[in-house]
Amino acid sequence: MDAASLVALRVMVGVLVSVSAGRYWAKGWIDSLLLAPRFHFPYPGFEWVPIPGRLGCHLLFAAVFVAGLALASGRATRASAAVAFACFTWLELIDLSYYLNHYYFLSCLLLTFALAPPDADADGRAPRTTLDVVRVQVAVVYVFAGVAKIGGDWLLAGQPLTIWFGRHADWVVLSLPVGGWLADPRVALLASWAGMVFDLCVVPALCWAPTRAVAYLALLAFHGLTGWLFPIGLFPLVMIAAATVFFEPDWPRRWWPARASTPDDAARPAPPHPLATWAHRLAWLSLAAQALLPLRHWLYPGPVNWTEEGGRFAYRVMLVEKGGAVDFRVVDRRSGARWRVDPSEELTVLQAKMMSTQPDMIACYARHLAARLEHERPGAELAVYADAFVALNGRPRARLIDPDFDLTQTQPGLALRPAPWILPAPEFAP
Amino acid sequence: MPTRRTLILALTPGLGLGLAAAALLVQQGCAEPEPDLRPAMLADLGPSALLPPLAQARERAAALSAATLALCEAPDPSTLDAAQAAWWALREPWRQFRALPFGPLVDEGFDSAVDFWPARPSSIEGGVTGGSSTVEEVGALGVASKGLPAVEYLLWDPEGGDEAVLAALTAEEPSGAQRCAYLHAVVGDVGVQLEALEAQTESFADTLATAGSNARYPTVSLAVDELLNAAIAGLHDLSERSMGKPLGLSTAEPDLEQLESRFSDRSRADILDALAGFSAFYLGGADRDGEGFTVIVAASSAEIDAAVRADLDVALAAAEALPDPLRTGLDTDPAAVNAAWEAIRALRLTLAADVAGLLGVTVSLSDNDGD
Repeated sequence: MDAASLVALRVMVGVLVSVSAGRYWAKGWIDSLLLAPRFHFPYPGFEWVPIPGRLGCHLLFAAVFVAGLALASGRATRASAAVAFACFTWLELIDLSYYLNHYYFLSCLLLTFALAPPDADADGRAPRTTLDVVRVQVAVVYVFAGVAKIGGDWLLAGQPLTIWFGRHADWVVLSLPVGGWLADPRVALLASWAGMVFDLCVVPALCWAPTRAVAYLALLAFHGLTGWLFPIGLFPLVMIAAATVFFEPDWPRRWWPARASTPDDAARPAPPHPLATWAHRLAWLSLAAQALLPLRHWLYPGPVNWTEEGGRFAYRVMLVEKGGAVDFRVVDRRSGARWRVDPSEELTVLQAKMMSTQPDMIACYARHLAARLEHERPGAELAVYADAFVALNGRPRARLIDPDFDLTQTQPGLALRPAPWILPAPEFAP
Repeated sequence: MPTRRTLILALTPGLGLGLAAAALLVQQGCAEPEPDLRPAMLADLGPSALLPPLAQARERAAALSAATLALCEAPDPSTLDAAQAAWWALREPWRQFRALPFGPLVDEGFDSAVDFWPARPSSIEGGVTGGSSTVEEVGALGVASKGLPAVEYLLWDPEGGDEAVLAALTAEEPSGAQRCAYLHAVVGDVGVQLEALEAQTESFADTLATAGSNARYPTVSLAVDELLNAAIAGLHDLSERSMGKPLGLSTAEPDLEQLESRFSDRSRADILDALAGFSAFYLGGADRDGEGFTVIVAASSAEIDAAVRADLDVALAAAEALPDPLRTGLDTDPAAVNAAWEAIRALRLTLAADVAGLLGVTVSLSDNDGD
């Protein structure tokens, strides 16, 4: 099979990975997000991940940058992808506060590249299964993003788009009061439906030749608009690049016909490399896991947008606008002393904001707080309770955590059972 | 090859939505969009909530300067009373203004230069013994040696009373004249700081009024976000710095040295003034005749706006009920102290959860990419 589309994708992704690393550095986020915080929220199950120091962080970003360029240039593709994946994922795992669906997707894509390198052999060909795994990798994002949008807040209340569009009410484009139109809740509702239909239909429409051109134009418009309206960094560019994998495998040759001719698959089928066989199996296994992870929220009671149980690694993109506030009550069971702890004294503004709406982060901080205070007060036996309130998608706030539950009794690591201390979601409509 | 029928079937959802979008846009094109209330609110913030207390503070700083000059020329109970009254009066608009910690107040460090907290007597005494006696000399000192808390410390003595203050100001050794000269120079420095702050805040008010078309606020949303985050931070200061920590409400032990205005026992009045400042921000000036933040909250949710107003009323009433002096409040009326603290925290919670969620306010300064 012609490897041209895979090679084009590899070049674009490699460049974007490097740009992403450079952008993180240029914005000063290495210092403000990774080095400045006194405490980092570990990912459940990844508490063992070491936190690199200043030099380590800079070296990891440098490694991502160089590996991205190497990936783009096609030098040692598998190794470049593996290094980019390992270093990027390590950086991502430093602090749960910064979890983003598109970071997760980029990690997954780099892993897929490491297992099924998007490379051309001497004849410009690649195994068909390489194209298939990359296509499935990209499809997972749209399919689950679309499925997640099938819900009352999104489809009936037009939330959170109504809130977010309202923030642009002052926008004027070409003398047209675009912002005023955006602020109309009916526009947000229409956009919600359009977004769901787009996410659910774009992959089959890209796969089918008669609708491909229209689908890609729609994709350009969709990601262009979301990139224009929301602070989502490089995600639109990554997806615009990634979606080209659904084109015909030889599409780049139509743009650069002089570079090479389409290889003749029938004449010389590419022999499978022994390494490729098991690596491809691992790639399929990884994709299967990625497809199962978004379904795990059904194991927990209550709406995932409220409980957040099973919400990560599920491409539930842009579904919630939450305002939250939390502080902690500490009780020394020995002395009976009681006091409150304001988490903003230790956490950064962003960490405190992200924690305030996510129960597992609240429990994590409560455990850390107890450990820290018990270390500072030898002999103390501390219980920690949270007063946490969250307003979801424009609803008035409600209590998120059982205020009488001692959160030091929670366990770190993966939560395989529902957390009984997360209170039910408010039932009223947004 | 797909048939025409399958093609039409495949495209129907997209076409349907496209037609609906076109119809809505045509309809929207004919209809006048809802007015955006935020620019008017931002434009009104300076004239209604920021500049009036600052102008008043500058005037009162001049009055305090005259009063301390009179005190130094003739230290007696009446001139001391006048100086104390002038300091007390200056504190009112200052504390109202400081309820919104943003703009030049924070960016340029005026909050620390005018109101370093907690007051550090050793640093103030260091300034006195250092012999600084001019505004320029005091201007070169660290923030812990000057500002309103230093003036308060020099004008009040909670243990010895006014007699001890006057004795210190008239003593031969160490020199009372030197102490008084330092006091007057510190007051002069406060006046200089307030003058500079007022000039910069006037410029900042223009920046707010043109939010959406200037470099600091390229979008109106950024200005609204910063304003709301500042109001939340101001309430956080009020609940924790003014009450929680010093009174031991949020810590295991009280630490009265962290109490604001502890030498003059103006702590309770400080809290009331800060709430008045918040009220001016939310309701549109002291007379509630401006375009306060309430207009944009009410436009999105009358219910949440009503909740903020109710919480504000409760907080104001609870603060009014605080015992005076506040430093002994936990002994005299612990229920009232706790009620006021909880009421201010509830108001902050409503802003941080309900209002921030309603307006989609993002975290300021270090916000990362979104989803």
